[in-house]
Amino acid sequence: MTDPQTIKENNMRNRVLYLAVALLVVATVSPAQNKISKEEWQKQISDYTTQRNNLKNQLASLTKESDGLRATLAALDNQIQSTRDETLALTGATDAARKEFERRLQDIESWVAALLPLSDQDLYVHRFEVDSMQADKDRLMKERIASAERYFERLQKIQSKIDNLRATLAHINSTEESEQQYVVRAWAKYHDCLWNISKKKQIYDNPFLWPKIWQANRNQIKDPDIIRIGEHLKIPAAGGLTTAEKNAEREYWSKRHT
Amino acid sequence: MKGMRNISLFLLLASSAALYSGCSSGPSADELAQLDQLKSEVESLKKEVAAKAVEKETLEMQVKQKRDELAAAENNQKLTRERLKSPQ
Repeated sequence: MTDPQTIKENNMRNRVLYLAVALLVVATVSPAQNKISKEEWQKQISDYTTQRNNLKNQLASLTKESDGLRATLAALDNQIQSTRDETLALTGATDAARKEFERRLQDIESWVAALLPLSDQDLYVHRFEVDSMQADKDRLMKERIASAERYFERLQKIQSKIDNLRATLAHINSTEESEQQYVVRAWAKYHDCLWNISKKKQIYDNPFLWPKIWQANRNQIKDPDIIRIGEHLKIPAAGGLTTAEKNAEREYWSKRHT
Repeated sequence: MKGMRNISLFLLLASSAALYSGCSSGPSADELAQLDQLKSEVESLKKEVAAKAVEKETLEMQVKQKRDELAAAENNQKLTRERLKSPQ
């Protein structure tokens, strides 16, 4: 019979031994998994060498093609420049003449650019400039150098902008010609008088502009306090009172106070 | 019985140790380094090839644009000649 103390010691020793074996097996298997066989190494070396050689060939071919394209680009640049120079030479213009033409062209371009953003009212004030601009542009167009495409295109753009300005001016003129009209209605029901008509939102939205209506209809309104039902009144475009309108108003008030 | 178990354990330990110490027929450390170097060379070449391909594509596009520009310049010259023959 073995005593219990000896059995306990044996068990403990066995456990320690198993643990040591297990650790050794784990330590042995783990690095072995990362290793490759000699054949596998040889195969990989061979594959990667082939890949490297192919890539080197590809790189060399791409480099050659890129160099060729760069040379083509340079040649095209030269061709473009010489074609442009030849085109300008066709017009027979000297460098000084070209510079002068360019300056005049830029002047008109700046002039047009300054008028384009103006409001209708401001453009109307500058309406005569549009004609001068057109005359300048026509003068440039007659010069031989204007035939060069680079200038010709710019002159065409200028013409199109001048046409836009002219169209706007024509619109302003037609609006002025077809000014608004108002038909007078009964005082008893609508309280129509020059003051109230001027005050209407769709007219001026400002009663103090009544002299405008009076002056525009002076042939039919002798006394601004008397307007007749059914009368067709011309309503001029809104804006501040003109000197004539102010004078007429002053005259009216002075007559009323005497 | 106990003796048998100890002998088995000893054999297991000995064979594991032998395996661990490199008795298998694998490549040497230098050979493995050579493979790693080859791999990194291939990776680097792949990147260079990709960059070159992009560069070539960009150049091709530029050449196309320049050809169009040249065609426009030639056309302008033709128009200028015609315009000079019959001024506006």
